[in-house]
Amino acid sequence: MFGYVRPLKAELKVKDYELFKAAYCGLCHAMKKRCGIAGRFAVNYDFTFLAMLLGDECEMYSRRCIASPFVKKNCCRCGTAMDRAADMSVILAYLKADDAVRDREGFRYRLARMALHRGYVRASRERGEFALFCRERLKELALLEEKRNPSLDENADKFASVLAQAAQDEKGDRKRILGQLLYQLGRFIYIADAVCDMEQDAKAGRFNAVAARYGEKPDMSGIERLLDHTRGLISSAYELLDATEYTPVLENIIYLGLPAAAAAVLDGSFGLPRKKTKEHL
Amino acid sequence: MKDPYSVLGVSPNASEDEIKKAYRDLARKYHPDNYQDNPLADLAQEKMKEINEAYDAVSKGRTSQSSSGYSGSASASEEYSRSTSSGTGYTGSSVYAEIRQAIRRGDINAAKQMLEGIRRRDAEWYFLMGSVDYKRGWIDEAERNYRMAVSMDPSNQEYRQALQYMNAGGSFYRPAGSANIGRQSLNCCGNLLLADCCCECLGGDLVPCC
Repeated sequence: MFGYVRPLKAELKVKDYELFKAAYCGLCHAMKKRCGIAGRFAVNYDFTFLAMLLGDECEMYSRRCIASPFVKKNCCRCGTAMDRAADMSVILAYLKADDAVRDREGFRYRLARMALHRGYVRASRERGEFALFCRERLKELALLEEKRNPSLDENADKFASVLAQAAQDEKGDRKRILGQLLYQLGRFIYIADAVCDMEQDAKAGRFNAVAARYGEKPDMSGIERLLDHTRGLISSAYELLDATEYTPVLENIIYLGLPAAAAAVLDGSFGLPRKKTKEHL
Repeated sequence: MKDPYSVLGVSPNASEDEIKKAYRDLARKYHPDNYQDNPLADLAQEKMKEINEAYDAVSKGRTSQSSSGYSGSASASEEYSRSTSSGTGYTGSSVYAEIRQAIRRGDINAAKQMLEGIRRRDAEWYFLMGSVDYKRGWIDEAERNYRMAVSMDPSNQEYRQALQYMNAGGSFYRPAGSANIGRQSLNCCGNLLLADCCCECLGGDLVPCC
């Protein structure tokens, strides 16, 4: 949802980078199929990771698109995983925009919500249970934040459960492993995002889960340890999955991309122009 | 049973050393230490068992084939097969024993419910609550509960170990070469000096001026 889950490009082999790009394009096409042009703005790295994680097979095709109208780009389909990931990201993006509109956060989100509405309706027709589950959890999260709940874990749990729900269609051990992996990944994203927003939230007087737990000007080493431990739980779950074609990319993301993102978040350089973050990304 | 070579991820004509290395790498990955209190610990244990069996099968097959009588470590796997059941000699109140059992079974909700029903909260209560929290992935709360348990009963080894584990940020497998990438600002001079020291130890010299 926020771009924290991405590979460390410099350490990827070229062929693995191509595969990652193909997965990204594949997701974009799947989103377009679901909700037209608007879906394209909701494509992101995190859900590309999800698609690669859920997918087991990899079928390549090439196609032109609006970003590359002349040269056909390689795209890949990961069985049904691509469509599943596309639906989930449309649903989440819509709900996030919906939330922001209710918080009166400006015209931008109103526009986004409008654009995503059709896709949301279609995707939730397909995955009604998931949409309902997300809605409930995000509502609970909003309530907790309104109450200024000081338990970081409890706040993160709501968001993490949403991500873990993406493993719902899997079976047996794989479902357990993916559930745990995505739950911890959800925690990672939630905490990292809260750290990123800390300054802005303080200025606007908004609730911030990390500030509520560690104080306005926290000692970053505690948060770093928390993120590291969370990452450890992600990787320990990941290692129990069987290898697929995506393994090199996924490993890069988990063992290199996430630490780089965490480091950038902690020293405040995440999302700054490339020049300043050269060290990390 | 699966083909032992594919379990170890090596080809059937791999050398002794390659097999040993593959086995070591896998064992390092799925070692019980990396899955302490992990909700997926049972799956890691299964994996470890599979690897151990595969290694034993492969090395047994090889020793019986070669007449040279390789007797190095036919079941080197033993060094990694550590029993994981800890805390069997527990002598505490029966409610806590029941809760511990529920936690070990992985029935986290039941354990949590039982704990919430207890009014008098002593060190063990906080310790067990910490375990429950850890199992469901609530790391921060787990750490707080462990800390509470230790502060109420500083002499208890079990509580202290749990807190230490949290303070160390857990212990997990990391593939070679992934340590601290991205955060490390390459200290070029320091590395050169270090390399120089190493060289000098071995009789050479990398940086002649120092």
